Amino acid sequence: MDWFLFLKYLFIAVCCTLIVWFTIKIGFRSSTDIEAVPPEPEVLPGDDSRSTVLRRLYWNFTAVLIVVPTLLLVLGTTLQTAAWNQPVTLTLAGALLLIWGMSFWTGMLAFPDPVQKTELTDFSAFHEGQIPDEPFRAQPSESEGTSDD
Amino acid sequence: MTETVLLLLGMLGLLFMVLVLSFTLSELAYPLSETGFKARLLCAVRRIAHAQKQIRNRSDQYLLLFSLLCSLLMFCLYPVLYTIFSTRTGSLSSQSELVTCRFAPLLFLGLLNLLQIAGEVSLAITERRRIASISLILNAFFWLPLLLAWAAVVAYLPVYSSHAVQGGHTSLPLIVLQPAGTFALILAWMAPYLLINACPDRRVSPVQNWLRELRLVTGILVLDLVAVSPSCFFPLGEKSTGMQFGELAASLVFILVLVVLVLRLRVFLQRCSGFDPERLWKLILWLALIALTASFFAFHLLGMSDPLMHVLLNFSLLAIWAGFLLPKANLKRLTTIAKHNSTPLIEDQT
Repeated sequence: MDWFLFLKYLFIAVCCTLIVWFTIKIGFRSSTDIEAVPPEPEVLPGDDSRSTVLRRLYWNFTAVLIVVPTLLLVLGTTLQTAAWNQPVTLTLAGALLLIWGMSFWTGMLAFPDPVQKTELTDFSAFHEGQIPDEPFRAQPSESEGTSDD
Repeated sequence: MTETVLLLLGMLGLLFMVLVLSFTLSELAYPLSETGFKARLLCAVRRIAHAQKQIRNRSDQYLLLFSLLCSLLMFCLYPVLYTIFSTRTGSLSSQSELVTCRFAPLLFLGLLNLLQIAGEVSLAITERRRIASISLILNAFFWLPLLLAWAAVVAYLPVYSSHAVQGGHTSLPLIVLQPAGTFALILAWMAPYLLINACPDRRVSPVQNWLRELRLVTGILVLDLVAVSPSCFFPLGEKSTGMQFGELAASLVFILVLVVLVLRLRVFLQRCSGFDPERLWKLILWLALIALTASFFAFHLLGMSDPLMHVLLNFSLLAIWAGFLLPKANLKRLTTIAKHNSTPLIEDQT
């Protein structure tokens, strides 16, 4: 696929988008039988306790770091049959270890069990909102991290 | 010239079918108002047109248009994807071309992943004030499983280099050779759809709902092609007609399997009240990481050139994931607790 072919496909896609959107918007607008939807009250996302926000910020930061070794691994597919003690393979192994390490260390792979000990009898107590916070490691970046998302 | 016209006509027909399918699927979110197929289709389109008029916010309109553009571009690139994934030649082209070079399948799959991420994120931004659990999708770490699954699958795509695997030849498709990675790719691709539809108290807005169903249909088309595409163990040269027919039949069957899988998963997650989206995300992340490690070990450290050994390794890893990690998501127990706790809710569902 050369570049102009891609541009052609992009152009076709843009035309199709506009055609589909405005055909629906203009062609089918006689709709008296559908009940008018009342304007919805806007609800802000609810689960923003401070620890959740900080954890998500921390995980976002880690995700950006994980992208780099992953792309390195993708580059390494051209050297699939190199010997295991070649420097490239060793580097790739290091990248893989880094990925595992980062995702373990930040708690991305941990399954906290909030409902493990609750019996059916004290189920109402569980619904009162005693869902314990997930084990969130105190990180040095926590002090300056502010809720920005 | 005739080939181009035929291709255009075929794509137009396919686009029409995809649109009709997406309208039908989007009407499923509402209680049955009409009975006939055509009446329901018209009702769905009118509902969408009505909701389009109510979107006053201009940036929302542009974001929705952009999301539609992403899924339609994915659809328009489908024939290119088909030619890239279905032909395997050993020669390199010397022309100055964009992605016909050695890494075409790799790059193309990455491009489609980016289109998927852009479309879903722009769709989610317009709905973020309406659905509480959507803020997960807008995070960077949510898309990590998709990236890792891409990296795991890429090792099995036919990439032509002097170090490419030499050894046993087989015509097994990718889904058999690398089941863990392909399954992770499918799950990560469909995760936003599943998460948003599993949210119990969401307000269904018709336009976004329709766009999401359209993204589901085009995504299934693309994933199907990737899953049944020949791998790096595929023998060079022309394919026989019988093999082509077999591939076509396999892809048709796999499309059906994918549709049923996604719709059943959606119903299952809707039944789990109190279901935590983050747990599903963690499950997919585990699976993607396991698949990535498996492809690294198989190709770089062990240097396995026998395709059946790859099948054995990946299937056993998938079984390990299903046995040890799937129970940790507590999906089953949440269902039973919900049954004990709120029987009337279950009763009117069934």
